[in-house]
Amino acid sequence: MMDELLNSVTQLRSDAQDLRRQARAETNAEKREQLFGEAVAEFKKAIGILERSLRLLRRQESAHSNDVCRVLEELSKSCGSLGGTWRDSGDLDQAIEQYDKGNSYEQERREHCGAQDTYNMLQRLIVRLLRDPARMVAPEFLAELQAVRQEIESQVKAGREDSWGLADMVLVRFLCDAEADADAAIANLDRRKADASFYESAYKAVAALVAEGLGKGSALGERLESFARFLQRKGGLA
Amino acid sequence: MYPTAARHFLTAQDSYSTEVDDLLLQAAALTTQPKDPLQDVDVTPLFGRDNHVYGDEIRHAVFERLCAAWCYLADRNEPHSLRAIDLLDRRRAGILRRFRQLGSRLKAGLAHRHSARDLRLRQRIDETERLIKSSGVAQMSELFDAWEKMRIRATPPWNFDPDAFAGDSSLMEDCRFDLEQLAQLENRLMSLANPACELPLQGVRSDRSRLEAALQRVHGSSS
Repeated sequence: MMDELLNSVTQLRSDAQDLRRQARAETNAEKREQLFGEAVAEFKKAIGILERSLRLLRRQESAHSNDVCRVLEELSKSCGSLGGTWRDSGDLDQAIEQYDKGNSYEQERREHCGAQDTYNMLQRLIVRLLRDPARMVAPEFLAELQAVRQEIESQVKAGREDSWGLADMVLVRFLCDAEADADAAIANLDRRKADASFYESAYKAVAALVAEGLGKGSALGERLESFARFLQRKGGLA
Repeated sequence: MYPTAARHFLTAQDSYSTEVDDLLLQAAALTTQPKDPLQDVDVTPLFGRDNHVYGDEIRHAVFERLCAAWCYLADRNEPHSLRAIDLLDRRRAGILRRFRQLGSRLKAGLAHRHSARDLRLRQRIDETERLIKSSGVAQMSELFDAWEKMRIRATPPWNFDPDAFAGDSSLMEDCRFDLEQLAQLENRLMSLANPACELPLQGVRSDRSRLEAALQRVHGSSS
């Protein structure tokens, strides 16, 4: 039953991601809005199914059984994808809401399921930077960035080595002004070849920061632009 | 000796009873994780991650097997031509489910492939999805799946202890959602006006009545 549930959710998420991709490429504003709306509806449908399943499991199973952890994983990914869709459509408030929600599920996975994932944890900060680049010098914001950096680095020390984790590490090290450490992570990314969808997704996130003018005219801006070009080259993106 | 051996030969160990598309999916899963195509972007076989050429070969091989599975289902079973009534046949319902899941997975791969044959496949997937949605078969399939999931739960919604509702405010909301799904399925089955629907219709009505009664008991105990 769990496999069937996860297959149907993966189908919804894939369809939603496809609609999101079409929306990004669409030049007609009305059609673009419609496609984003359809993508959001599909992601919400997936999240609704998962949240009902989570409640059902929690009424029947131990707090963090294997099945509960699998549903939590899908939930954090789906909320993250919905957050990214809102970000692409320009609605940063909705994006923040979804990344925060995704991070609360992700946090539960990190604490109770042994999960090595930081996507929402980092994106919730990045999307806040997109809305207000001045945060980059706010001490409390920098403290939050440092906490994300520590979390990613401890996960990598514990054996995490997926491309998403390395990309998160590069970004957070750039933002924490640790260029030399970021270079090591880029070299690791350069040695491997992930699926094209990874480069596309990571590129969009970095390009959004560049477009917003984050660190423009400073070393941070140059690093971000250089990282975006790297992702573009590795992914063969036009 | 041969007749004795033949009598005891376990035919299940051969793969002739396995669906062809399943065989292709199993072959694809041997080379990469059969998980979420959006999340699992790294290839796992030895040398596949660091050897770029080999990694690309693996991805290509997996993608071609998925294409073959989709084309097999599309051309041999034509699930996009099914009618809502055909979903009463569990085998066809299963084929439709696998076909739609494969189509979604392929779209993720096709997003980064731009040859003429890739565009052709993408157009075919879009067309079949349009047919499945416009005929109402997609909605019917989802309602049947939702009903089946209710029935195989350890505690179906109509069997919840009324006391459980006291400390769980979302339970009532979830039960109402299930009730709505059952009502929609009942309406869809009735609209088909086909004698073959009579048995499932009785089952859906029975479950709906039991769920309504359970919710009334909760209302009764709380008022």
